[in-house]
Amino acid sequence: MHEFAIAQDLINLIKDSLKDSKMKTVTKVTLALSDPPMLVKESLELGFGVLAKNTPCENARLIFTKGSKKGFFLIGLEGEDGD
Amino acid sequence: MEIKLIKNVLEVNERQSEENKKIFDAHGIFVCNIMSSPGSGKTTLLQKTIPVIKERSRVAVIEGDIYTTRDALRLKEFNIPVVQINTGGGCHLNAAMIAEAMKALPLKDLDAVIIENVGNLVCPAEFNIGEDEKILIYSITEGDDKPAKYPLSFTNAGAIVINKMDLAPYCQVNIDKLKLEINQHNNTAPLFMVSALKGSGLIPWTDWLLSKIENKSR
Repeated sequence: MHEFAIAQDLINLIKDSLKDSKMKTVTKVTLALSDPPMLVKESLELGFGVLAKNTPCENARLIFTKGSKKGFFLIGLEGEDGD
Repeated sequence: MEIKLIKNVLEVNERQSEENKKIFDAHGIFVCNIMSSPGSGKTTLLQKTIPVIKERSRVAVIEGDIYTTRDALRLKEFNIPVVQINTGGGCHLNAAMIAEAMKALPLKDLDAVIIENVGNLVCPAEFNIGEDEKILIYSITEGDDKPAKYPLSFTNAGAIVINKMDLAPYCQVNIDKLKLEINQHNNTAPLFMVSALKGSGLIPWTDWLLSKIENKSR
């Protein structure tokens, strides 16, 4: 139910992370999620797909990994630079 | 190209939660975040709890509800500060909502704030809001199989109150199995078996709550 709000926070965090980087478009977003998961992955993907339109992560795929630390973390971005 | 980083996706809420807690701590206020499914008896438990703790401490309530003020109205008779938050569809309270509600509370004149979260056994457990303890209210009518189905609510609880025990004989629920399953997810939280409606089993619960309040306000 709250995955749309989390998807928006994630997009804001990605945009923030790109500020000091040459990366202009994001193709892959790697996330670490502790167990038990605090969200439904499919719902997050749905929210992310809708909210990422017209942002640098419009075509990015979300990759979920199991995290050892409790919570939900953005741990990696792959993409292309603007040159 | 690749960027490696470690950023908490929920850091905005976490930061606000820490800010809220700092303010509550500075005032010596014990804060509990009451979580449960809808209809498990959170407000009824508060109606039985508040008169007891009010005798020894100054308490306020923040009421979370998706649309209505019904629960807040049920607490009106106690003549304590009650602040209503309507989430307008949101499935849980977040730290920013609590920060706003705190502005309406007389923090200097309080020992405890009880936050009744939105009725939902999933989402409230995932968002810190500045509380000292999350407290799970679980209705015995929900059966003995829910701890494994909703683990985070049980894992994150600092205390667990099993309510509606007066209905246990009419439910096909194995209390030993329920206790065992709770213990598998949380073996440190005290477990209180009560019937808020009938007023039974409440003393250990209110004693525990009062000890938490008094330890914090010292």
